Amino acid sequence: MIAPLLLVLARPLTLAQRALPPQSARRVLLALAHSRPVTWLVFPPLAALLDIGGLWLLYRTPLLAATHHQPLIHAAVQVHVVLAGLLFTFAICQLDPLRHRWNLAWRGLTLLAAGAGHAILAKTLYVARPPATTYSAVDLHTGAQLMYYGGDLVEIALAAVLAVQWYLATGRAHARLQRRQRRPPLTADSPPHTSRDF
Amino acid sequence: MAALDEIVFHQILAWHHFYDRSTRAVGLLSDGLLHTAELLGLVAGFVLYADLRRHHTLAPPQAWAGLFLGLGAFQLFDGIVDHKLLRIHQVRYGVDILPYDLAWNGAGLVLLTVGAALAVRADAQRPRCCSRCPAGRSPPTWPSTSSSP
Repeated sequence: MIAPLLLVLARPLTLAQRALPPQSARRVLLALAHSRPVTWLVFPPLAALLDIGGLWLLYRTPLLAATHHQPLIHAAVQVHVVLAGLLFTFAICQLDPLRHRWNLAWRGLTLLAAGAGHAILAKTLYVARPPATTYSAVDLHTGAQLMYYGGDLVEIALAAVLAVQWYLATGRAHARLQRRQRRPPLTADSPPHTSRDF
Repeated sequence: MAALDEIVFHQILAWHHFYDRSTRAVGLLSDGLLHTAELLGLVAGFVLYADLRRHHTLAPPQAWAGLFLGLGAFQLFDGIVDHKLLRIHQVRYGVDILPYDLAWNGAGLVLLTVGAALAVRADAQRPRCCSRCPAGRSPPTWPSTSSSP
């Protein structure tokens, strides 16, 4: 699903904090964003489990068949898929100000595991239809391929977000380092690495 | 340094041959992980490449050598270890496999040879990266700072 990525790239939390009236609403939102449950929910592996685990539950149990008969379950599944996708993307990208930001290794490894889980699910759907459903083989193949290659595109986009964050962060660190090294006045016994003449 | 990440990300371009339409659970798991890792590796490789360019520490001859060495080494490794020793999958099914294997490993060998030749040439050119550098000394690496304020 590309929708969560596009929504998260718009930085909804930052946007809401700028658009809301400064007093009560903004404070409530800030308290919510910094609350303990939210801090745990945006722990990347947990968010990935809720998202990809939910998909496995949907396609590998009779849940999908149930959604065809019971409108309430159908609606709940739809809402869960969108919300879990949003949560996962939010946790991976971490573009909005949160109490705790997980480092690149956590987010990258989570993305790897989640991407693999998604791709594997798509491949199993190619060969075996979800329990208690009667899709034709052609539909199943088309859907599984869409899921597989669509997932790849979203994964590359997410990886690009992380990569650009890393690139900008190291660029800033490098600029800081250079400023710091340039600041002290040069003397005859300045450290050797600043007096190297290339 | 440049050579290393060129190997990382360009050899990954060759990884698409790893597919095996196996339905076994372990096969699916390894395939999914590899597929995801290769995509992430591709993105990471490009951004590392951009980082090297930004700090002017990219050494193009070494990078090209690394690219071909990586392609060739992976192709040969895939051809010999995966196809023959482990018998994970074959180049093609239902036909005489010998010409395909020869072509596969031959291509790997050619790539590897080109990479090795480029590496030797790059190494020979290295001392001339700077007229004042003594032979064998590597070019300045990040973080390098100029002494003039």
